[in-house]
Amino acid sequence: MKRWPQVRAGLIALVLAVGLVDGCPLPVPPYDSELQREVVEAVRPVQHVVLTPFRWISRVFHVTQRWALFQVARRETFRLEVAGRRGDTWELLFRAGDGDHDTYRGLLLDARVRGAWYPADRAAHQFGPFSDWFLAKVLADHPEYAAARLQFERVVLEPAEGTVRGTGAFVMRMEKVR
Amino acid sequence: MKRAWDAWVSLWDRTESPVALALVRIFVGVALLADLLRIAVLGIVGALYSAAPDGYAMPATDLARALVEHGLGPAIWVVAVIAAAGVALGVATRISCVALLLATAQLAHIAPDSDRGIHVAFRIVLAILALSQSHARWSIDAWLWARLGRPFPALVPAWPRYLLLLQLLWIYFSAGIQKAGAEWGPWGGFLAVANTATDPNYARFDPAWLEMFLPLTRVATAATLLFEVTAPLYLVWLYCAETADRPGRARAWINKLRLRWIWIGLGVAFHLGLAVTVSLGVFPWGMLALYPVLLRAR
Repeated sequence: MKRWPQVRAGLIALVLAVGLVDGCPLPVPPYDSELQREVVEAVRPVQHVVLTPFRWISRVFHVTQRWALFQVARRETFRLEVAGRRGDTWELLFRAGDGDHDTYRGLLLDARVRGAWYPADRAAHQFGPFSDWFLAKVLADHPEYAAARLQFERVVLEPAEGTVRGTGAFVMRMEKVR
Repeated sequence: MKRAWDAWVSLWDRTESPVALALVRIFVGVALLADLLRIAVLGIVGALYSAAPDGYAMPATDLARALVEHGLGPAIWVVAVIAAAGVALGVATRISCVALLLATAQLAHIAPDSDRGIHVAFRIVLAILALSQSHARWSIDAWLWARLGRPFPALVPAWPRYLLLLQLLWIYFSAGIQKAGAEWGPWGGFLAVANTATDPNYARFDPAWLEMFLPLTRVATAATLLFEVTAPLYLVWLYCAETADRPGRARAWINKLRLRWIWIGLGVAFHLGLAVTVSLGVFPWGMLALYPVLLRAR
């Protein structure tokens, strides 16, 4: 048999093996159960050692073999609101899912932009710089406002009733004054 | 052991028509091009890839930091757009694939939160396409080389398609086994799809329609999970289809029940359902762009 097909088959086997080791789903605290913890603690150092020579690939090309698509889809979530202040009154410009207040809908709900503000179990990495830039944009677009703010309302999804129930509790409020 | 190794070597040494790889190249190129151009339509190229006060980039590496400091973030976006067009059209295809891979990786380093899972998948696909002969059909390269009297061969190495197939199946399986939320199972009432379609940050429509179709979304949740965790079985269905002329009752039943096509149909329905009901950017179309690798080369 020719040499190149053998080398190629060997390289492919190596790629598959490294990919499987990288993709091995090891839950991190607090998402691991008591039962999983022992196994995870034994496997993680092995995974770390095996991947060491290949870590540069993941770093340079920003790739991984761990795929987590909609791991959770909880009923308790957050709803983004954007408002501008005219005098002493806050006027709602945007509220996610609210057809009467949908200024900036296309921008804010774009998948690439949403990544910078969507709160999962913690604030997005770029949330600070994003809110700063976005609120400056709102003020530039609306000279009638003296201030702009964005915040998240805790909401409960009620799919059986086809509604979203607001709780009136707001978190992560960011405000910019002109 | 020797026989197993020889079989492994000959599996990865097969050749086939380049149609499936060419389709993936075109679809991935078009999907990425549309995804990148949408940033321009929204008018946020500068915002995404520049640091404050012009934008909100947060470079994660030294190189990305240097690019942003010199105001080159948007220039990397331009390179990515040109390379994506090159991939779709098959112009200097391998160079275009590598350029697009490197450019999108830099964009991910510059603005980490704008890089989604589908973009990671695209980069892996581009690396494989760069090593393949996906440009042997339906490309400017193929047309040019044919005009120069040196056409591409009718059959090209099949191993890149096999790798893409394994990658696609692994994405589904990995996502399936990591679905930890109770809402994906009976204890959470199979409400995951309904919850996602109700989430105001994702939903395309007023969720009032869910009141009537809730049972259907429960079925969709169960079907999604089943589709994802059974992804590796696709290899069994495919093997049975490839060896349909051999004897065996199980093989005959699997082919007769068309399990392979049922699985592909579930995947198409899953992605089209997502595209219609929730706003996930290029994700559903990007995944469907890989589906030609599921087809059998004849």
